[in-house]
Amino acid sequence: MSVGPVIARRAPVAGIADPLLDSVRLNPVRAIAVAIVIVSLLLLVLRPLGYIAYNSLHDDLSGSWTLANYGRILSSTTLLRPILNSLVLGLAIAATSVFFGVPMAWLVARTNMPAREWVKALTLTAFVTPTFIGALAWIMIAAPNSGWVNLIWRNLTGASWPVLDIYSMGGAIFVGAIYAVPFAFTIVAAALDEMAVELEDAATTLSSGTLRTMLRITLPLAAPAIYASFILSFIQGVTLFGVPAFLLTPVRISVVTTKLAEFYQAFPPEVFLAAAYCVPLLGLTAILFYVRKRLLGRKQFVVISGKARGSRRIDIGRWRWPALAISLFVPLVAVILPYATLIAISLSKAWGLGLRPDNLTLDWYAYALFRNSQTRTAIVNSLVYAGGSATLCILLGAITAYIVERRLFRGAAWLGGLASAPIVIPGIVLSVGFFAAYTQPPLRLYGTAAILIAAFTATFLPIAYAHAGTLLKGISRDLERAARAVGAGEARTFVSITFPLMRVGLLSGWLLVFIPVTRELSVAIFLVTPSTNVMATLIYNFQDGGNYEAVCALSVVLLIVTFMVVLGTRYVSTRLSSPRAQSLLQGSAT
Amino acid sequence: MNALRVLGLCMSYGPVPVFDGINLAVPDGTLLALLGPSGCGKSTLLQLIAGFQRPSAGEIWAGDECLSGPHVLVPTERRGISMVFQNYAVWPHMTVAENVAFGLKVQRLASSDLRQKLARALEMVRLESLRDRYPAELSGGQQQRVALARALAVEPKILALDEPLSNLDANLREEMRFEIRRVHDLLGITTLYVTHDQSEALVTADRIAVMRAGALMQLGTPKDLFEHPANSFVASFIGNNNVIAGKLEERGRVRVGPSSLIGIDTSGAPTGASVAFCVRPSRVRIDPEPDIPVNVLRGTVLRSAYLGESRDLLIEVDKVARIRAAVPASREFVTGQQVTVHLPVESCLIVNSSET
Repeated sequence: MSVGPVIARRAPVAGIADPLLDSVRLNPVRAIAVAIVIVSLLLLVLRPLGYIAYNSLHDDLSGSWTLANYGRILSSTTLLRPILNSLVLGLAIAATSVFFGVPMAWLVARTNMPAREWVKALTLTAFVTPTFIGALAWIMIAAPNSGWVNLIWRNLTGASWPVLDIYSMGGAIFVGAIYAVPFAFTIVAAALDEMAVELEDAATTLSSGTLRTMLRITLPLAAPAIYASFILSFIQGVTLFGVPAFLLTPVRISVVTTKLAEFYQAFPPEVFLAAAYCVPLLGLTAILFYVRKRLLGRKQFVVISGKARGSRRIDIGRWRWPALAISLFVPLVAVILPYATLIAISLSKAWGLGLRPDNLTLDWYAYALFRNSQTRTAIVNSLVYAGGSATLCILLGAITAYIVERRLFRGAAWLGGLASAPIVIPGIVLSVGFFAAYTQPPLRLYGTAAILIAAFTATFLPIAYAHAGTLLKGISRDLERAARAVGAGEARTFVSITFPLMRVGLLSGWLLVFIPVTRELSVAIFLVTPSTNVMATLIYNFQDGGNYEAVCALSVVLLIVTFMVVLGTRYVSTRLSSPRAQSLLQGSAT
Repeated sequence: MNALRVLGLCMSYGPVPVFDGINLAVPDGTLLALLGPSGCGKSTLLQLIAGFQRPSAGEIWAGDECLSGPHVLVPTERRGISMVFQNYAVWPHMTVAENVAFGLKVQRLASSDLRQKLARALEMVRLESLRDRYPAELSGGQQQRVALARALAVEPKILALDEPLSNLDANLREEMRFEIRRVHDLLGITTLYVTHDQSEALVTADRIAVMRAGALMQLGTPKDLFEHPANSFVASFIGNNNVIAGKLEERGRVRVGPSSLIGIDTSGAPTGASVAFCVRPSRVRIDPEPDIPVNVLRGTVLRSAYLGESRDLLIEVDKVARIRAAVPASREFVTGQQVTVHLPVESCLIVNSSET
């Protein structure tokens, strides 16, 4: 082997023993970025959670360390009962959601049922409809005295009792479930879409019939997706706030989330007891997410093939129309009836006069948008907070994902865990945590926009982080290395190469955060003040004021804002699929 | 003067060593190919030289500058080593010209200077006409030329090519081999070329370093490697070769089963050592004229494959060795046919066995 003689070595740079110091000295920009991310995550995630833990162990009156809060919860039926109610609500919603969602998914993904695209579009519309607006609409439809279904019923039959009573556990389950169906529907439909059609064909060639194939092959293969959607619907059910607050609180049935609100309305507020009361809910969602992760950990079971499937579908013959009728039930009760009702009421001078031409007006919209300063402020606040928190979320999520994906330092994965943690924290629990953490010196933010933007950012950080992580995985590291090799430093490489390649994806991530923030109720609920109200909290506070026409107008405005943003996203993503933009999107160059 | 030296370089992922004490010197202006099967550590070596990873021990020197050592780790961007990647790694959000100019912009060149260098780099790889295209509008070969121009534009001290042709189809690959050699002859930049394809290495490189399982097997010119392989691994890896294991009876004579074979002994091994007896299929002769005194064996045809240009025979001799032979396609053989095999002494090499 021909190795030249060792030339006298130049003395190497003075030894730096500490690798951490070493990297700080070599790369101050990286050190600053990492420091900012760590501090942000500690403030947004760990501090509120820490306060919940700390407060739950302290006494509301004396402020000393105690386990009494947990003792009170365990020994009091009025405190245990709501927990049981929450479980019942969650389980019933999950079961109903799967019961409707799975057959609908199969019909749309696999069969030749007519109008599949319509069913899909309407179900996705239900997906983006805030549940508390659904609950509000169903009060107008089926409140025992004033709901129009009951009015018609009494007029037709002369009966003195209502045919439907939405103010009941059944009512809450119904409303919660129709808006949870889209979870099961989308997850299972996606699994069925990805499943190789050959797997079913193989069974058919062994002379298995359609039904047998479905039961023995299709369903078992889709099972992980079905379990996952059950769990997600369950979590959605137990963490619901708007639906039980609208439908159960008036008849004095409490669930965990509404009970938490009661603690804050008590005088003096029982903040420390509330913290303890969050813990069982937090534990439950954490366990459910863990189970879901374990289930999807074996995901290769579901994603068997990414092959484009042919257009061949299962012919269900004369069942096509009955199937469509069943599939349209959820869209009917979750979208068509509620939207029609809200629009009709918002366009009426007085709803009590009924739908008559001389009763029509746009005045409530003028009132909501221009005349009423409260609603005007709330609309502006919602948009500003959503914009601010979406921007923060995406920046923080992208930089955290970069640090974790590119393993900038040992233990970087912990930052990823921290950024993902809020996904298991119910919105209302986060609200409790932020209230506890940021209402006293030195960080007194209560009443400011900052506390809401921060809470929204924390809530949706997991979405932004996961989204940015996926984008980064699609960008070959060689694209960054090529820049380093021609002389660009790490920061320059991130700014010139990595970030521009992520940009298009980050825009959709931004909207992914923006949309839910504009309608988030439970996170904001304990944090708003009259000057920092958002649309969701305003609707919540208005609804017992009795001015239904204005509330409905404001709800319609909120829905229109949501749909404009959704359509805007569509428009942007179609524009971006033009040939030249395509070259921008092909970030991986592999 | 050596442009690059690697001294006792070690690398391990956790407890698994990738390589253990590699030494390598690359003279100025050489095109050195790092050749070896996948997993031999050649790409990792390139990554360490480029500075994408930190070695666990050892040193890397460029000229008289230490790039990597126990207390030194010069970041990639300050090493003056440009790189071309297997997957091109052309930035999809920039035009051809923007890709190539990026490194020059980082250097903060005056704009007239930049334009001039950009034009020269594009001209070198003949991409002037495509300068405003986006990568998605280019073929694979064109993208790889962009990557090459981008790496060359910054006038690196060392150019590193990591399997640059593996993603191209066969025709383009052949064309690009000569392209890379042409550019190297033009600029004379010290170049490291990682490949698993021996013909690629033979065509382009001044010198070839054959690697296997994290160890350097042999470093030499293509001719050296082909004609004087250092051991049985190199003998079998470079070109087609029959590599037959045997025991050295005496210098120049190897015992294989019942036969004693004679060849040119480059092993320097002691009597009784395990060695390898090598002969290229093209040199093997079948059913020769009688009266040849040595290296004549009786064998049975196991397989006869018509390859158009030639016929590929697999012959079992003495029940202990299988020998491949390339014979004129016009000669017909059937499976099971008894043949006489002659291994001409001047074409037979005795080398060290690389099995340990």
